[in-house]
Amino acid sequence: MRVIYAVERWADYAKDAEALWPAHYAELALDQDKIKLGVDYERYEKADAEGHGMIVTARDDGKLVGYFIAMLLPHLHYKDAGKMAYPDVYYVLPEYRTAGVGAKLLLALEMACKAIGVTKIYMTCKLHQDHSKLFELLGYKPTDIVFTKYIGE
Amino acid sequence: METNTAEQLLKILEEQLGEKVSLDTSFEEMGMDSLDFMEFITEIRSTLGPVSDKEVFSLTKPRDVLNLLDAKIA
Repeated sequence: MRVIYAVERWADYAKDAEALWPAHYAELALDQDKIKLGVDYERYEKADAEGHGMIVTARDDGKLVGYFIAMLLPHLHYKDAGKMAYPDVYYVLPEYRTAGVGAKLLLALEMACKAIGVTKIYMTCKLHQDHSKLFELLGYKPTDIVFTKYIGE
Repeated sequence: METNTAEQLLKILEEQLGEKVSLDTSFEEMGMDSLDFMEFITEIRSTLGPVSDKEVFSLTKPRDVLNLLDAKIA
């Protein structure tokens, strides 16, 4: 296993990621009986083109084995504080959750964000797949608690 | 110096994993997940010497860590 980490454009990432999305959704998505997988290619493409999307991939001999997509936006209350990175989705194939692949993916994201002047990264995880200890080892501090409630019909 | 560092490295891993490993056992073979791996790197940083985030990417087995630390001492 020799995993390479890189920043990729949406089109290069998406053609290989499509095969991973169903497993990602099945493992991590909430409210699956009400909210179905439906990736918005156009909006991702637009975010990528406008520099608002950061896609970091992990590939083993070309095979996509993990990805992290962050949205890069200035905070509306801190317009002079630079862009901040908000997690959109991230996933590592179960058979690659070893040898630090996930940790290196997060480090690669941080390095890529730093390189373009992002000033702060927000990081979240699902309660049923808690990565808090890993985030703290990588220097993140717990700051928010997020609640969700489905209010659709 | 190398032997001492190697011994310390393997001791850290033995304490973390609960079993002996060699310098050439890959982290993958050890079954380390990301948390185990970062706990190991954090311990190395606090006891044996600095390892930058960029250097972390090249580490696949304990010998890589040893070579990296030795190169900094030399």
